Amino acid sequence: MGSAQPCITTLYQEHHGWLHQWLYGKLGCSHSAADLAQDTFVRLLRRKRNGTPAAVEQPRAYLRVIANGLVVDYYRRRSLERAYLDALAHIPEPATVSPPEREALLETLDQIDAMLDRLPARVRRVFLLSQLDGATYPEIATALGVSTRTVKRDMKHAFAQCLALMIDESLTP
Amino acid sequence: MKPAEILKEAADWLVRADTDGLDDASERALAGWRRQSPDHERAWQAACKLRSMLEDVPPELGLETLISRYPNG
Repeated sequence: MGSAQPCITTLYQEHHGWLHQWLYGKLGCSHSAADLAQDTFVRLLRRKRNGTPAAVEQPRAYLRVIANGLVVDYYRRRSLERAYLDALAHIPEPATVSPPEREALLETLDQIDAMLDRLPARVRRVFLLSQLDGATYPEIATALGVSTRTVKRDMKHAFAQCLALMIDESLTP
Repeated sequence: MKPAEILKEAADWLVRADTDGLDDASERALAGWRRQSPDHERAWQAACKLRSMLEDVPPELGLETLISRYPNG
């Protein structure tokens, strides 16, 4: 292996072109495609450093997998921003929110949304009612027509999933 | 202990805190749990971070934004 490993500069030179094209095809925006192409290489670099062998053995396939994940995130973020603006139409933003605070809030919402993304619908709802609305487990059970035991189980499921993703992220920031 | 098991136990602690609150005895038990290994402590740090993240969100706006994304939830 050793000497056969291409360095990141070579990878970048060989693959940036098609990757940018591929992203442009998915996003229809050259600027965003350029941003995500950069992000893709940054992530590749990180995984390469963490010793993920696929990152160097199959760079093309690997880059596409990373880039595809970024595209999914990109669209999730966009739809979250729309949902936020829709919500603002009937719930006033706290009057004191400055633009950077709004950006930070969107960032937090995006993180929560990403963590809940893979959970079943009821689990997600139970979690949000409990953790954002402050509803008690029995209140949630009544509202959703399930037992308190089920709510507890859902909460445990959701917490464990969130923690797993948070710890995962702290390992590969 | 497997990492996934540790996370499940950390989740248990969060559920306990939600349902019964943590009295002095529970706090001591939790402190003991955290001392079991660096992974236990790391799991609890993530739990605290998660809590503070959720506390930062304005409830109504956050709920409406996140729930409206999954209308069938």
